Amino acid sequence: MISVPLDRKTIEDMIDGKLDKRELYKIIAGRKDPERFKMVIEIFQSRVKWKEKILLPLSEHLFIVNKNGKPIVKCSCGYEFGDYRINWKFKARVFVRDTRETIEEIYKKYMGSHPDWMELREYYCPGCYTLLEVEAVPPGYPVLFDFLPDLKTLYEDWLGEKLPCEDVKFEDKSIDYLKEEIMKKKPTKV
Amino acid sequence: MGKGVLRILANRGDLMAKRFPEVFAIDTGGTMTDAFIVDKDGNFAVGKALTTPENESIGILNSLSDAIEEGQWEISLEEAVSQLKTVVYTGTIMLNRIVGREGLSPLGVITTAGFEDVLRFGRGRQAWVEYPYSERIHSASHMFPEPIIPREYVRGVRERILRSGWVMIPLYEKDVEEATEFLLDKGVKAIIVCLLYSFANPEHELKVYEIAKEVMRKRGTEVPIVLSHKINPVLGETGRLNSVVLQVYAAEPSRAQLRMLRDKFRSLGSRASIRLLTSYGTTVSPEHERLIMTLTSGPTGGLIGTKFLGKTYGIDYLVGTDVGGTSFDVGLVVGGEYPILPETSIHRFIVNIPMIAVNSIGAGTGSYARIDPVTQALKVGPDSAGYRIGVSREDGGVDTVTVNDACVALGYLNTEYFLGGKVKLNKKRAIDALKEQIAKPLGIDVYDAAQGVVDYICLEMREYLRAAIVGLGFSPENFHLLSYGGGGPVLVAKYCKGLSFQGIMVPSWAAAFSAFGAAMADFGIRRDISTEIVLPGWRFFDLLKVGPTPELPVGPEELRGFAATTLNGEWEKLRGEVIEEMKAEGLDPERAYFKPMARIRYWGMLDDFEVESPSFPITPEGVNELCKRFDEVFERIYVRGAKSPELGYEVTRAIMVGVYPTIKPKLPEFELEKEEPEESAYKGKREMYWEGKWLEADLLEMDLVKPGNVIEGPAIIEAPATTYVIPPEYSTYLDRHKVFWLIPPGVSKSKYMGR
Repeated sequence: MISVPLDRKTIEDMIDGKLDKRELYKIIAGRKDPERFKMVIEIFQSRVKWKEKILLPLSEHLFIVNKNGKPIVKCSCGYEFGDYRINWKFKARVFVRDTRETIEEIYKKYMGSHPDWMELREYYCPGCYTLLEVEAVPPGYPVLFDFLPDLKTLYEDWLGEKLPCEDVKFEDKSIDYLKEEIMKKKPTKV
Repeated sequence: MGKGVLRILANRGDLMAKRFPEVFAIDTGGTMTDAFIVDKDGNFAVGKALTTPENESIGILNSLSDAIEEGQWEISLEEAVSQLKTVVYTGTIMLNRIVGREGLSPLGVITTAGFEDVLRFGRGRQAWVEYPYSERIHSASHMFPEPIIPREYVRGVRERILRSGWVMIPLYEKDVEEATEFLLDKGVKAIIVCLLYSFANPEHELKVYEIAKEVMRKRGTEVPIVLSHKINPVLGETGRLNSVVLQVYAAEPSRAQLRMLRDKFRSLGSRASIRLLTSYGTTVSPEHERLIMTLTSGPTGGLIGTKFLGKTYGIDYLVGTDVGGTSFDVGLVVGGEYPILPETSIHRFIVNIPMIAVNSIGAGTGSYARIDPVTQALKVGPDSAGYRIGVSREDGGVDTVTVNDACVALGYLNTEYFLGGKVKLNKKRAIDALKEQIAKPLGIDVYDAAQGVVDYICLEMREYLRAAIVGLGFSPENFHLLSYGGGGPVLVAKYCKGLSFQGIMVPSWAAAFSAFGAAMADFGIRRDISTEIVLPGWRFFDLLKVGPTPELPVGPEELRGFAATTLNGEWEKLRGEVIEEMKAEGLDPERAYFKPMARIRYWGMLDDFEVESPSFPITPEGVNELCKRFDEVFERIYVRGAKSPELGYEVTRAIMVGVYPTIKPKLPEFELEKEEPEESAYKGKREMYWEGKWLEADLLEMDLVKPGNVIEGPAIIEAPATTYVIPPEYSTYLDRHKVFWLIPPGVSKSKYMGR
């Protein structure tokens, strides 16, 4: 079994995908040390140019950060997606592969999905055009909200710390956002 | 009489006589090397020593000396060795090569074009098989084992043989030449040839062999070429290829080590032959062609012993539980037989080799106990200190507490008498470490913490045991339980709590029970080949509107005739191979007896079982009988209602086993003495912690407890190689074969007395 706590180098290698499978398995299946979360945040923080404090990493490039007391989603390039309770995908650039031609750009013939049954939605950062997320869903399926964490519970009950930003109500605000955006558009006359 | 002697002798009056062991069985586990010796009359003695992974022969000889000493056979090691006829080895030499990735490499593979990725894909199950339960259900942990042969050493050749053996695409010979050249350029040390359905028709594999040989001759090089149909002629290319790869990678290079072991015995003046236990329960020589069959034989010894005890007592349903330092193994004897599985996994590679069904989890007496710093929850195992025992062993170099440490703290284990006093344990160290690592973080009493560690590991064992039994559709009430391994008798009361077995048996030689089983294995060679013989049932004919024929359970006469001819042909071929192999091992095939068997399932079902043929050669009527036997086996393992003869039958494998009976230890039978143990058996008292209370337990010497004696708990019965804990309200009875029966509260003693 791997020794805990893990040193910073091991965690950096894990984040960079440099660990071999056996080591990675030991970390996944092994004990967790209480300092691990802090160290992961530190590593990510040291890699971004902006100053806002990272509250929680969402993926390799996306983070929930403390922007003037408000928790928002921010890309490693600096692009801001806004309130973390609104699905960040609404503000991302999207490319949908829903035809044979586009699917066969990345899959060999007959090796990809059938466009009638499944489409691939690729979400890119408008700031740096990094591919942030890919959804594989049936056509017409609503945009997935991957992860809506309860920050207050995480910080106060799990980590035993004070929430380092404003205490915003834990709720999914994506629908409200969509409503607002739709209302902003002028209704078209039929 | 020497104090602390674990001895089971047929005749106690004959105590000091010189005895010469003829059979010496070794079980090299991760923690202990167990020895079991049998003389020509079937008397036996057991010994134990720490495993010495860097040079196994040290531990092996130490355990042999220990057995001679403990059995008081009054001979020197040299004398003992000189008289040995057979040495049976079960151990981890080969397995360690796979675990440490220290086998023969690089190796090359030639396979059917389009199937080059079989090794890399493996089987889905390989991503989690052998994981602890907590990680099986944790999909992020699922990872495929790194293939032993990298993809760039695998070359495809165009050809195709169908399941029927019919050649659909002839072999492109130029492909073979190129592939051979390519692999030789890469510097491979051996070439493995595995083509689709080569067991049905080996024509193409043989042709590849010829062409590759020719290429090598032209180049002036020579590396071994191994053909899959020779090693494992069984359906399923993944399992077949994995088996051959592991054979070439791990088993072949181990032959040298096994020969070294033989030479070691030779140098001590022995002419004994070294035998290896196979995973299907017989022994073969180190020269055996399919050495892969011996790779996972570790837990099979215990099951052979379990079946033997079952026969002696007339018990048909018996579950064997082996508590070692590193693992907990569970195997079932159902209807007097141990089920043999058609495939198993070796270090997470699925292989098509037959194996006695034994399942293990990483829970043993050496399992580490830790507090998860995040959740503050106790976790025990699955990794373990193994032969280093725990913190209580001062020179063990272990910092993390183990189950052993908890047992020491609770007063179950005697610090001065571990391995008969050969290993000294330090109780204070154990208690201090438990306090620091478990009790303090949890804010509880150190003895409650130790109790928690023991309860945790026993809960895991109990749930695993229950699942093994319930999973087959039985309940514990159907079974007797046998507990062995060094740690079995210590924990048996705990891990059986709440499971109402018919009886709980603890042989007094529990510590070397696996070696005992191994010593009992016959010399024998088994050959399997996949077949596809279908005998449709009346439902099939009904569907075809050719008339319901329920009175003909296995179809029309012609089909049974065809089945008989096919089976006889396969059996004859396999028997020829077995005889050849026996001759190569220097055995006289005339003295062997042959068991023709078939693996059968209901047509369309997945579970197949082995049944022995009523005759050889088999007649069409015999085929009927064979199917009936399968019905019986199926009924024993599942339930009567699930039998489905109307579907018909399918013979999936033809099997031939050639067996050469050997000297068997016999279970000694003693006169029953009075219930009250003799005064001399009591060594004193010891404080023992049991479920929140300190109790004063009677301390007894196992060797001085007499058959017929009944001991009331709380009591601890000590032997050099194991400790047997009898909790309060429990009692134990030693029967005439020196097997203890643990009697739980509320169960009448009279049920067991007189046995």
